[in-house]
Amino acid sequence: MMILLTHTNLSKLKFCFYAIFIYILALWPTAGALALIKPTYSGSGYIFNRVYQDTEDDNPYEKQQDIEARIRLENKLKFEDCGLSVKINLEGRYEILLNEGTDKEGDIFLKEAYFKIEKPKFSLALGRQIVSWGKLDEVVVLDRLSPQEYKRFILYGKEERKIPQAMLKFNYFGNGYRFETIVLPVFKASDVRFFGSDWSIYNHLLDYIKDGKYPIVVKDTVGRIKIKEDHNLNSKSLDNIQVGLRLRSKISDIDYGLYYMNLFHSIATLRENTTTGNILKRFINFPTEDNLLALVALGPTDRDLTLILEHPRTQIIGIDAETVLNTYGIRAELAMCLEQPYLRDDFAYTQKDTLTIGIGLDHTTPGEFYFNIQFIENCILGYEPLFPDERNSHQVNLNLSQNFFRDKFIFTLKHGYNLSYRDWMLNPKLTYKIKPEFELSLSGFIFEGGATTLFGRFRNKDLVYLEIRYRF
Amino acid sequence: MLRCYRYYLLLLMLLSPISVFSQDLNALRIMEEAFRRDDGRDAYFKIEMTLIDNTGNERKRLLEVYTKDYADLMKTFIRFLEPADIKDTSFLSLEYNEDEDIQYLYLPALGRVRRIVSSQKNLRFMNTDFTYEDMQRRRPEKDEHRVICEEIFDGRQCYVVESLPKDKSQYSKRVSWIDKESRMILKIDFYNKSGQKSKVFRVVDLDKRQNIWTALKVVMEDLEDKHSTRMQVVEVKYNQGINDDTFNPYKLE
Repeated sequence: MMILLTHTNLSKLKFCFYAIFIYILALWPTAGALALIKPTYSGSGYIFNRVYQDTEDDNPYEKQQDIEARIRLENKLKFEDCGLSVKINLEGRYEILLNEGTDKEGDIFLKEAYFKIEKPKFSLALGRQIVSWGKLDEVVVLDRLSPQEYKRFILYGKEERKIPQAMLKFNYFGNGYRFETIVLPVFKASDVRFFGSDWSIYNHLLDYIKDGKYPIVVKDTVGRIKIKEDHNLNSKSLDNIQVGLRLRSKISDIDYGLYYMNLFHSIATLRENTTTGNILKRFINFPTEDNLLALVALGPTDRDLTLILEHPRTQIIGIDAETVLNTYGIRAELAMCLEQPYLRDDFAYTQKDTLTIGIGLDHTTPGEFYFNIQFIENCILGYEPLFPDERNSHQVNLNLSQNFFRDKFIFTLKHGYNLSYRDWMLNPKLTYKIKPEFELSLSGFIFEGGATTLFGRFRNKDLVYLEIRYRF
Repeated sequence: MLRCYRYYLLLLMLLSPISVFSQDLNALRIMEEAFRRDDGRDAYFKIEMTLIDNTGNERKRLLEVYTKDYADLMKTFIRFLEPADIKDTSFLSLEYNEDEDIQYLYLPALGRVRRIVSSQKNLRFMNTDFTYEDMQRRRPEKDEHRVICEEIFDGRQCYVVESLPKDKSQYSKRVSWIDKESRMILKIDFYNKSGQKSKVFRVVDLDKRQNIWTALKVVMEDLEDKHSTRMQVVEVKYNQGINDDTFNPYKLE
């Protein structure tokens, strides 16, 4: 089945999708006719504007002020009588980075766009969609099918970061259970930047050296550093199909889900072409003079200086559960992920099986103060010294919320703390609802931790922002 | 025959010490009749909800409510249609006779269904003046009832019944005005745990739809917060044979 497609095969893949589309229309011949008679349209959307202000001028490359505007139009056409609906969401973005050389960037995206058929026993949706799996909030244990946009790291919540992609979703509704099948024919990676922006993993490292007072040989070496995509993954080949299966049901008072996923790791890991590539990785992770000189001294070739964005295929078996106990909500997720990508302590690429367990507890007090605490444990099986991961790592997430004056003001505080690496993030937010559809928020992010930790990489990116959002 | 029965009850009420017991029986019967009155096998309501704060500012919401009675279970599905900030938020409640209720909430921003704590009934439902407890029909056997008097409320002859909770409740007492003709509860005074009257529920407009008495406009007033929630029925349909799928938690997403 897994045949690398030639141009002809690619046409076959497209043909398959069109065939499914035509087949569905053929199955519901009344759909077209009813569409002309009684469709119901619902439109909604939002427009928002954020103004960011960095709290400290740390380097000449950093953008101190940043203005971002987004508009989203959500359109739904529903043909009630035949159970058919069509949903098309569009998003337009405009971004202004205010600094000496002001950059402007604007774009229009097609977000979700799919049609869906709902029948008593099943539903089928085909097109660009997102997937929300799992039970925990803001953490990724089982919710792995949709890639995410990390262009601005975690300044947006997980659901807003998700990137829609072409997929087929099929749900079968049995007596007391639901069986869900998701097929993603084309691979799409999460949007993670490595160099050249404030929110990239290695920040402006290459620009520093290019513009710094370094010998030409050093500048030449650094100038040839390249990150290359795996073209096979981006090709529309049947080899790149990803599948997710989920069964949802209930035992006693516990709602649970059983999962199987066969997919590519959507966040890339840098894989070396040669062993010299590992010296390169040492330098970009620990950008010291010594590591730079060690790299230059090797006289690396272009091949040595090219790192590949690796997205290994992985299989995930998992379970989630949710129940209530007295006045507390309890949620849990467990995922066994096979062949996850890691770097050994010599920076060579390797893969390890990983077990991740997450438990969450939430409660609302009579004064309507809400708290949600989640604990995540990550265990790497067959452990050998890795960079920067420990055999067992632990993370705590906290989400607090309090409404004042009947929802007029909402204060939320999100906190993430990696106990093992001692890096953390704090995100307070105060929202004033001027009208139900119109709100104003003041928020900020504080990141702390070591230079190679998740949050610590962005410790110079503490910021405050003002957001105006209008929903319609 | 019915009149004879009432005289018989009146006689019993006059006979202390069993009068209280008899009165309770009568009150329980009234409350059961109110609880079990014909409100259709299933019902669909489109409701305009208005939240009014202490300065008179109004916030409007539009929602759909589907209810269906089963032998030992009542199912309610609520979906918000407007405004945009809560559009498509859905709530499913499965109220069992014996077991603890099960409630699910679908929040579009979260993209998935969440099981919510049903035992915390004292929390406000979507920031209205109705708590989760108020949203449910309270079974008469959960309270001890007593007829206080009979009086005319809003031009209608009513029994006034005091109900003290036997089962857990956020209130220390309820006093209900039950219309003799329709067996509808036209008014409820809610008393908080310290014995103070804290909220008042009133039916402002009552009429028959498909031959079923229907509260077309109701108001819940929070006396402490000086805030009220008005609900106006825009559309109502009874006995339409609502599909069981409407209440399927697996179809909430």
